[in-house]
Amino acid sequence: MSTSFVSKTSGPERSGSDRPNSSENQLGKAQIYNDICEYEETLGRLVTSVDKFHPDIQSARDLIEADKKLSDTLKSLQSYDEIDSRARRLDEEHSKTDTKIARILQTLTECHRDLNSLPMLEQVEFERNTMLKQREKVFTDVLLDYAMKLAKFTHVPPTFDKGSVGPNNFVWPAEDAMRRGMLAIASLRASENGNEKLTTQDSSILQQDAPNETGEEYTGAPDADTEVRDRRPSFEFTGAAVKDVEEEKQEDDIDLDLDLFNAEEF
Amino acid sequence: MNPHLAEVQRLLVPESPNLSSPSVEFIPQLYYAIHQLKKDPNSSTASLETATSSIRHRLKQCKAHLAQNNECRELLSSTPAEWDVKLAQRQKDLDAKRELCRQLALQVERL
Repeated sequence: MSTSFVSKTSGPERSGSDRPNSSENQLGKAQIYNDICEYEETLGRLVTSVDKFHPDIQSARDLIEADKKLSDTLKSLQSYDEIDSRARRLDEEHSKTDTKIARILQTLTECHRDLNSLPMLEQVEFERNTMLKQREKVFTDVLLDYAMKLAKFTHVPPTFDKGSVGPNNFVWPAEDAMRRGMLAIASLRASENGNEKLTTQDSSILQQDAPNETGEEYTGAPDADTEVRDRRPSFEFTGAAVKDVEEEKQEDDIDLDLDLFNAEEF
Repeated sequence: MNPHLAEVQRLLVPESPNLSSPSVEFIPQLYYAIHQLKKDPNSSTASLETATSSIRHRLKQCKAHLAQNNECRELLSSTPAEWDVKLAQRQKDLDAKRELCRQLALQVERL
């Protein structure tokens, strides 16, 4: 009887057999559901036979058997409950672990991104070395400017062949011009015209006078004109001069470093 | 107890005080109905169909509950032995995840 029941009930339920997790398939696998169906079937047969006044003893026996099976299945609900508790605990643990792993991976990804955004050590060292090398270099124009300044106060080198270059092409001043001091003269002229400023006219006169006095002084150094024109009257120790010196010191320290002229020496 | 399983048990064993060993009480009810029918077979209202209607109603309710409740259906669709295998596999997966967590923590510490 029970076999025929299974074949009857499993017929339409097998329609979802290609889907293992379909509800029909799950119901077909549930023992308690099958037992209830069998109970219903057997009870129906018994009731029909009794109501027709032809009681079927076999149906009554089948019903007793079905009742026994259903009772046994009901007893197994306790174990199903324990299984459910275990499964819930495991699911909870899975969920916690997944969250933890996701958080760790997210933090690691953020750290990796932050580390990648930082400059590499090799790159930093390379840039630092490049900058240091760049600082070690002295540019030609700076060196030449400094040499031209030094030349104004420097004697002719003893090994220099004076016959090879004409006096007009000398970069260094003549002996008398150096003794008198070209800048001292410029300073005196500046004090005559006032401490505030050297006019363009004065500076042009100075430029005209200077070659006459020094000979070859300004022939090859047009930048020196500007230096003479802009040079501060630092040799007069007036308050205004000191102020000007301080202001200029703030503006350009390099110019001060290169100023080798000392009025007291003349 | 799982509420869905408790509902199944309540429908099939409505007045069972002992939940650990429930037994279906339909047979005594059937016996009493048959006895009544045998006592008064000429009664027009007395029929086994009517007397067992409450039993069939409870069985139908239980079936409907199983059919409608996904969680309960999924739980009961496998035998306890099958569940043991599944849970052992889940436990193994959980252990693997924990091991992964431990290794990640070690790697982070090393960094």
